[in-house]
Amino acid sequence: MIRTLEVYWALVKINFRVSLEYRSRLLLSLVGVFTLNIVDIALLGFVLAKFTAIGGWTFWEIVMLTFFYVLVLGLENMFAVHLLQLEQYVRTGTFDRFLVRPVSPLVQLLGQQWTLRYIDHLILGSLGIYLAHRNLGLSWGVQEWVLFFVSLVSSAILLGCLVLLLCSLAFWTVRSSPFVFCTFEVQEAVQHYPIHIFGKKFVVAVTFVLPFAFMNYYPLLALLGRQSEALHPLLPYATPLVAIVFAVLAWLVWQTGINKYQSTGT
Amino acid sequence: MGRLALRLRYNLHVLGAFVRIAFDEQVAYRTAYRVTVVNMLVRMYAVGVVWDVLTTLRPGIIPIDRPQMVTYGMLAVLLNRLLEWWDGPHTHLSNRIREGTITTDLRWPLSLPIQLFARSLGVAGAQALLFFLPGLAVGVFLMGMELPANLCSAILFVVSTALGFIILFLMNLILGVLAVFLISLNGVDHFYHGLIMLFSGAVVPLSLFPKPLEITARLLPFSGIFSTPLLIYIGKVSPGDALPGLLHQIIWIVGLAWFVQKLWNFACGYLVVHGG
Repeated sequence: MIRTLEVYWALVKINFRVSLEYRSRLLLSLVGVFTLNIVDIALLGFVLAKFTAIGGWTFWEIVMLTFFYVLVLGLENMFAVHLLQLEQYVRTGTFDRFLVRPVSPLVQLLGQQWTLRYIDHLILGSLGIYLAHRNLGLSWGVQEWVLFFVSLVSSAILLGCLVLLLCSLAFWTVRSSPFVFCTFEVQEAVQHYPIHIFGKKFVVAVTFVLPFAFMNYYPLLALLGRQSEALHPLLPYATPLVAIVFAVLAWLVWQTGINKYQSTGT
Repeated sequence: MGRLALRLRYNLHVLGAFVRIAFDEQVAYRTAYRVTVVNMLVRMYAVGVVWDVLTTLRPGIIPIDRPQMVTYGMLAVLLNRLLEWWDGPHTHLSNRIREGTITTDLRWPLSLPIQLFARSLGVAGAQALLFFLPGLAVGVFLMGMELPANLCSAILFVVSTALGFIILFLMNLILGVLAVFLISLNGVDHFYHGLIMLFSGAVVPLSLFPKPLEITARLLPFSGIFSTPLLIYIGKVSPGDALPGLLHQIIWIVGLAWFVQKLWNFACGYLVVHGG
């Protein structure tokens, strides 16, 4: 385990240094991602400015919901964005090289990219959470802050595991990007709003099938004292457990996929 | 005259081949297709519910009524799929430049911008048949989407969408040609996609924007891609009032086409082929 972490750290360091060699490219990436985030938030702001509240949630509660997700996305992308390249490796047959080295292929894949490109997610997310926290007049104690950080890290792990699971489908279907990006598309549409506005069936689907609700909605129900709105009062605290379940599930799919992998030979 | 006709026929034949290749690429992976359809429908449903909830919550707060707004949101999802604006000639061109394989494209008996246009046409054709039309049918019959108010609106919507497609293609091409100078579009493409998201009306109707920003957005070419056809479809712009919007689209097409031609000629002189 320690040996694996050492290898991962060595790979991250090498690839991080490589990314710093192309500074203008990194800077342009930062500006680009920052613009996308600002636009996304501005559009939500225009809607909220007109409607002031959605599904019983006030403007600042929705701001907190949105920016919590921005933080989750930033954390997940920072460590796991290279998973999205798996399809490319499988399609071109270059995944073979991960299999002939004496280190876990997953560690090698994750170590290919640790990027600063998503640091602005963390900056914007923190700023949004700070503003929302202040305007909602919340006075969180140690317990709430621990819950906040545990939920944040668990949500990022959960999202990463979901991405790993979907990307691993490339071992069977060669193309996995439609699974990943289409899931993201649905996620983008719902992650900015309190999920209960979509109806109970939808809440059940994003709780028990694709667990988007655990990435910001349920943690926020706990943090904003809205536990009674959940399907079950324990669900707002279940994100770490769901993350563990999905980690096991994603690992199984990944392992099965690797065992099934046949190089395309291209 | 005979030679001209022969050349035209030959060019159309080559153009058709590019369209077919792009179409075939889109239908090659059936599982991926099914997943994309399901997700598109879920996204349509989700967007429809959001606008339904909002407009029911505070009716009259925006100048578009509830059924129109639900239709606007769902149709915007379908147009997004039809136009595939995040993955057009710009990504293709920048990849080819980075890999050095652009040399192959330059040897074809058809200019590269025309090749790319044919390719985009093929992709859009496939998207229309595989996603847009089935999605529209499901939206109308099962999700409460409205049909255009009359035949004239429907025809104008098709015309306006075609013009929007050309505007998008030309803007994407400009960005793609920039890859000749920048090598990689990394980051620039995010910035550009942000502008489309903000100013096109694809996510939020421009009438919800603060007034100065709304006026700016209406003047820019981005609004011609989504906002103009969408407003015609939902009947917010009647056929009698559609002319300024269509003219706005045509003026931008002429201007952008002129700019593309100049930029492409200029870029050809700077093109450096990389070893891949």
